Amino acid sequence: MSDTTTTSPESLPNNFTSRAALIDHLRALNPHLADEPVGETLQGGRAAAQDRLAAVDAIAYGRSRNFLDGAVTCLSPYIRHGIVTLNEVRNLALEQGAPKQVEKFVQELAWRDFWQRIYAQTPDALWHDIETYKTGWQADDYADSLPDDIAAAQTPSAAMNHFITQLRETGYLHNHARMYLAAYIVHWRRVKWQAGARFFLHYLLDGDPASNNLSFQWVASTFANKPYYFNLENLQKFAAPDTPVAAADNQDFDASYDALYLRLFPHAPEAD
Amino acid sequence: MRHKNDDDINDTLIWVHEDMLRADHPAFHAADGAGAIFVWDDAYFDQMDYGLNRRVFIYETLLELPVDIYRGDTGAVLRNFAPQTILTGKTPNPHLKAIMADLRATSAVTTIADAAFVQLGDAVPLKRFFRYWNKARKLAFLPDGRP
Repeated sequence: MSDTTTTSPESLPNNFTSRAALIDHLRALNPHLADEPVGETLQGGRAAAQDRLAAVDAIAYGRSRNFLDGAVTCLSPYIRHGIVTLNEVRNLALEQGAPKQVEKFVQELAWRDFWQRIYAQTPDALWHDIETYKTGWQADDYADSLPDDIAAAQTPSAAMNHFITQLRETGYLHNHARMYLAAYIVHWRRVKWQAGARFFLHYLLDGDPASNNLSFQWVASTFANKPYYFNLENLQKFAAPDTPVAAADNQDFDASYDALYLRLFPHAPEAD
Repeated sequence: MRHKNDDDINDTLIWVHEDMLRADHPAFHAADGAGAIFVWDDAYFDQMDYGLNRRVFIYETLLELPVDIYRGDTGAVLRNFAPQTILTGKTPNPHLKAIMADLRATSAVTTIADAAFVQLGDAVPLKRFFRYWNKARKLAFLPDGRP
């Protein structure tokens, strides 16, 4: 490496006595984040990724991935940072079963490739409505910022509070939980998807402007033909044993899809 | 044109950024023996709005990589080393691309793509996922995404 003529940049350590020491080091470097929790479940590094790869069951994934306790891989933070590639994960899946058996698994990898291609071609699209909302509401009808009770996991819904806490503490949310929470923010609370996307990006270990924002736009209907929403029956069907899904604690969702559609999107053409 | 020799290796720097945190990323293979650095850029992380969890995850990953970690503004730190050539990973991230564009004023910057999911090129319809999927499906079920 060439000699430098100006002040040498500050060198940071390459090893720590423990994970706790590393976390302390980063708290000191980032005083404005010092109060944030650090999860234990998903740790950085190729070795940790290797353990996740060894546990992949692409066939079981296809059967159970929509359930909050299904056979998901938690590989997304590693894929996000290039620690593992979509290519090697797909190749691994192909070793586990015939294309039909691993179809759902490979298709989910393809979603990531799809989002990344949009990112490369039109990076400006990520923070702007790609299309108009198909909810009967205009963009101006949605609030610009995230309500405090959502940020603090103090909403009227116990399930949403559970997901928010999980997001903040572990840096990870099951994809279906992300869809529920995103839909709650955008459709029940009528908050611009951008505010929800910023909240997710701050906490998610796999937070990626393309996957995250374009998925939010898909939920919001600015990158889809209709809004994504759910009801309590659906939430209860896919819930994990520790998801608080009692009707009394999640009243906003306790209705039929038709009734919720009329409630959430009263001005949408189909609601007439 | 210069030929690859020890001087070239000394004049080549691998800039590892957050989208390529793997020791067998092709950028490492493209310059065996060259030094590799990661710049811990607080302002960049703030701009990306990464929480503490994410910063721990990234740092933890760096500890397993053959990289030196420096703290500062990414462009300024890389310019400080004044390498003739910078090798780095291709990325769609416009913030990283802007840094690469600035670096081209003082160094030759070569971006190296990671393994592709499907060997499709760029002319793929992206209006909706299933239009893309109709084109990608065949290759997606082949090893390395190619016939």
